[in-house]
Amino acid sequence: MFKKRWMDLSVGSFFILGLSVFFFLSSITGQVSDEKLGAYQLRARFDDVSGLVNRALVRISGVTVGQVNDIVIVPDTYSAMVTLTIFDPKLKIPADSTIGVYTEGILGSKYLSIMPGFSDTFLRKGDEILRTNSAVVLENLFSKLLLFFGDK
Amino acid sequence: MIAVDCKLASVSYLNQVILKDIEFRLEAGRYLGILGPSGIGKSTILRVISGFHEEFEETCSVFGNLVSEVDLTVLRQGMSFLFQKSPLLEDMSIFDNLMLSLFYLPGTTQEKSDNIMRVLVKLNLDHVAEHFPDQLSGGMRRRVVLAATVLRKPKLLLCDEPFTGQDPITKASLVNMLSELGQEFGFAMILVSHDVKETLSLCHESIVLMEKTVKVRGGSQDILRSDLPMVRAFLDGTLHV
Amino acid sequence: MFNLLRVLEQFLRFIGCLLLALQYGRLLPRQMISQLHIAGVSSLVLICISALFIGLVFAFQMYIVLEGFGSLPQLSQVVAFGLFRELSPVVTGLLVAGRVGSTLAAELGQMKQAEQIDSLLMWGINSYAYLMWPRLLALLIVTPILVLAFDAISIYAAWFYAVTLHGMESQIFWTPLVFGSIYFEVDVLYGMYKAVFFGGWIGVMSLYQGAFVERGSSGIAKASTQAVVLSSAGVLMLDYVLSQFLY
Repeated sequence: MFKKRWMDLSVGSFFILGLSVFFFLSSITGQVSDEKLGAYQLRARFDDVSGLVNRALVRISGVTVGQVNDIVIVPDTYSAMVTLTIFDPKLKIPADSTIGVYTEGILGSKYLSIMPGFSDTFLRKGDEILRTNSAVVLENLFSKLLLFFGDK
Repeated sequence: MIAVDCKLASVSYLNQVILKDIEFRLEAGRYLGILGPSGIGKSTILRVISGFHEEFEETCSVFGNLVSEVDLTVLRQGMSFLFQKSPLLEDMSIFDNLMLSLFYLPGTTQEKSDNIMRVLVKLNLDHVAEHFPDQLSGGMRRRVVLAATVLRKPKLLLCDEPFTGQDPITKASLVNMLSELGQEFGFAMILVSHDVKETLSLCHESIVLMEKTVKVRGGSQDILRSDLPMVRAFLDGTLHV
Repeated sequence: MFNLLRVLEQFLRFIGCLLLALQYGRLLPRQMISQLHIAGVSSLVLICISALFIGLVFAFQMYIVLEGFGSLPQLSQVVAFGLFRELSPVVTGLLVAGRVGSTLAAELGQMKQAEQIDSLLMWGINSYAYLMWPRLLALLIVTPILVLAFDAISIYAAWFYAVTLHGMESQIFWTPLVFGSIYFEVDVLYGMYKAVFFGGWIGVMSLYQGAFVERGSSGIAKASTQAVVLSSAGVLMLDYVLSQFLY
């Protein structure tokens, strides 16, 4: 019967379509566990990360390569420990790279930027980036300026 | 054996009395016609007998069971109701619909399906078994519904306006079919209609309902010979209500 | 006030019958397939067209805003964030309410008025199990799938706007979705959970309106209007409540 077969066929393809869209969407969006993508995590210690938040971007030469996962305080030194994820497993970062907190525009959101070093050894999963530049806090800058001009 | 014994002092709908003093008795295997102008509450009597309508006084019993007391599924097991409209589900084929109508009756699937095919062949419908209801003409659908009703091997068949909206030829063939099927399956039937000719030719006994109650009763000759002016006007088709 | 109580009692009785009917239910595959067809396949085109244009409009607006901040690469993320969690299930719900809800109420109402439900009862067949449940189940299954279709089409519409019309690089469009803050388990799946609730709500409301239809053809008109009104309003309310629970 034509009508019957047409109905079976359309309902069947509806489900196949649904299933394929399900997998399509799961492939174009991120997963809570980034494991399957081979993303790896690094750490960095800052004196001051004012304005940096979870999920802030990590950039190299202005290209987004990762994001901030976690910011905690290190109890004995009172510095901030930032955990960041580098998305692309093939992107190797030299061990002597420098990482800093920067601001988008003058008052924009904060992001991390990595300036690659020249070393032949590369950072691996869980390693710490040792050279860090802390956030530039405008208030501190102003107070320094005031002191500078006040001395004159 | 008495199929239906009705002694209805009154039947009401939404607290309004629409029928009173309806009394009739139907022997097994006999046909009773209920005639009357439309909207008078003929169908309500069928709904009382099948347990859908509960606003009535005094008693109505079917094969010795009181309608108001017996379990409705038991009551309806030996009964078929031919409604005005088709009960066929639009999303199932004719065969599946008929299978569904037998769902709660005893018997294996094989038996049921053989039975269905036999009745379909009898009613000249075997070629549409796999069609859907909306692919059939009105007359065919009517016959399919009839098939569904007799398939259940009812002891009592309730027919609600089976002739409405049918052309004369279909009406005649329906009359033939109903009387043939009755002879084969031996059910009793109550037929509600306002088509005088067909009802009288089919039923052994008829009653005419007017002004909320039974005006005339008897065989077709008794009805046709009645000289009550209102009944005459109804029979001649000149009644204006 | 009295009337309201009566309606409430009627509705609760309806729910009770629906739950009780579970014990009689045997799924008839044919019926299920045709209900899935009515609820799913026939709404798919409407859903796709709406998703296409909502995706385009959303991309268009966000493009202007993001261009101002120089954050165009975040476009796909913004679009996905706005659509996947909220807009797509809600709009799908509203469309299904209009498309399927009204059909269900009118169909059931028609069946009730034509004494079809009584005929089934004469056959000993429970109309809740054989008429209501297949329709309700079909809605429950189909709505989340429609949401998925909505998600996919709308994100492609945004892609079309940005990449094809404005020359953004395709790589730049897709990358933030994978590496940004859009998570499949959270954003896409939550949308689907919501859709299941929406489907159930729409089904129950529409079937209820159909089952207690008033007499005459105006009764059917009223039932289908009521079904659409109740289900769409319900979708929006449910969306708020579910959002509270899901985050």
